[in-house]
Amino acid sequence: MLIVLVGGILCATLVRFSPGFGIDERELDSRLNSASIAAIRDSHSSNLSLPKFYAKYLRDMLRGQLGMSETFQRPISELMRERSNVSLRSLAWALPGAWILVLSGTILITGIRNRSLDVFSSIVVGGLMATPGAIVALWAASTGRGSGIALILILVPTLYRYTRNILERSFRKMHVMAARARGIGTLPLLVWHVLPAAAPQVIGLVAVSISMAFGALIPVEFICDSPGIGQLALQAALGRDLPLLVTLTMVVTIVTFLANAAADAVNDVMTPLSA
Amino acid sequence: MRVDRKIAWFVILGLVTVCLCAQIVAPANYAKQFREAPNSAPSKHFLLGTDDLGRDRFSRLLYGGRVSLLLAPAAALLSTCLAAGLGTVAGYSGGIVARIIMGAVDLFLSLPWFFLLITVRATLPLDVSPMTSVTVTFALLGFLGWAASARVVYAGVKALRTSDFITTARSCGCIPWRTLAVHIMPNLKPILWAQFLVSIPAFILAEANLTMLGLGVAEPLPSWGSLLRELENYDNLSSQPWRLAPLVLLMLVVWGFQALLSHDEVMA
Repeated sequence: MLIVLVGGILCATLVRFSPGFGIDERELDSRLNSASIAAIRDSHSSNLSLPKFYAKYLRDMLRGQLGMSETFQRPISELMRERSNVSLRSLAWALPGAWILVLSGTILITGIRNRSLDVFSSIVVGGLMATPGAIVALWAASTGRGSGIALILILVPTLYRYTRNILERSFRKMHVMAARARGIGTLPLLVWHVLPAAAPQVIGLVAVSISMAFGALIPVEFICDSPGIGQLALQAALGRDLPLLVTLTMVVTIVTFLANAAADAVNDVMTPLSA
Repeated sequence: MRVDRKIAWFVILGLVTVCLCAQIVAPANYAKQFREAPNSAPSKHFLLGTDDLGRDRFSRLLYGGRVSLLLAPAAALLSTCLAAGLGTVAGYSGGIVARIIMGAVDLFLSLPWFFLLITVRATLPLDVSPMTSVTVTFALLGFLGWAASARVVYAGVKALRTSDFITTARSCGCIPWRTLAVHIMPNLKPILWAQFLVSIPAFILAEANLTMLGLGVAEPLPSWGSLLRELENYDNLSSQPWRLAPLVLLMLVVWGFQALLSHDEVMA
């Protein structure tokens, strides 16, 4: 909770002291008289004092009000609801899709132990890892593949490399080597010895993948013109939209925290079982 | 040394040398516009053709490589130094100091790195000179990329702190600063080297992503990220494959840095 609150205030501080904060382009409109310009300035005055802004923001948040977005001139709760639906739809099949590919690939490759298959997978994964996410998104947008495919292609290489390392480490454990020496087949070895030993770390990685997916959403949704949370984050950052950025920072921190807490809880149950 | 590491060293050193000598090797300045030849195909004058402003793509590729290949390691060095300093202090001192530093690490790691990067980058002036933009971009990468490395260093120092030789050194009256400088830091070299090598490709890719979103290096100064923006016109790629040159080079360099890490370092 402390991390969420500190994250929010750090984000607010950064944006508040950024050059050009609080300047409204409407002030340049020569048709407006001094009273109108004063009224425009006055509308921003609540955000000028950082402690006041943050206290008011937290008070409103406790009442379920997230304030108004300065860029979109719409209630933030409405924006978040709309945009998160789009992002959740992408993530709902991109994350499981990426994990199915990663788990089936790593189990197959570490289980079969075929040198040429291993080299081939390393080349493909290495190539994808060396490609900027924005280029993958550009390819997906230009070929009409959609943001989900781009997300899968961005997530798979990193997750594959970590998962493969975890499984390899499990294969090197003494009890696994002893089981192998006794002539236990590959499938029973994987199911009864390797996967249970690797499960706690893989579950931890699932939690990390949620945070990774959010990072990947930013270029993907912006380039694929998908109106989700990632695109909203970039637009909020570019527009220096203080209330929206603080809300997004807090939401992202809470999601990451909840994912990690869920992974820890599952690990607490799994670790004695796998031991 | 493994064959792929030898190839990786050869590729990286070769590219760094060529890009450093861009002023000699490149046929034109990166900003020079040949207005009579915009969008021209590769020829003996323009090895990779020209862009829509008539600028020589090959020259821009070399100058762009200089920016990416010099500043990404500089940013990686900055983040590794920050990680080494903070991770060592947290790991060696323990208690409240460790809790504060590791709390900051948790804070940094609780936000997706790219989200943090665009938020902080967008709070800085966007309408700045190319040199300022390139400095700001890579300085940001260095200042924001230390958290994950600091956690690794912290774990390393914590393990060393309880080791027998450190206990012996302390029992012989070795003062904390001497223990850190003479006994702990030299043993952290492999960890720091691995973190440095891991950071370089990550920063090169981050700069490319940032620049493609319009938050990175400003025109006319080229970087591999800004050169990749040409790929936005995806339809003509099959008829103009030479436009893929910056992507190929970037992938080669990123692969090279990844290959430099030994298997044990990757596993760690």
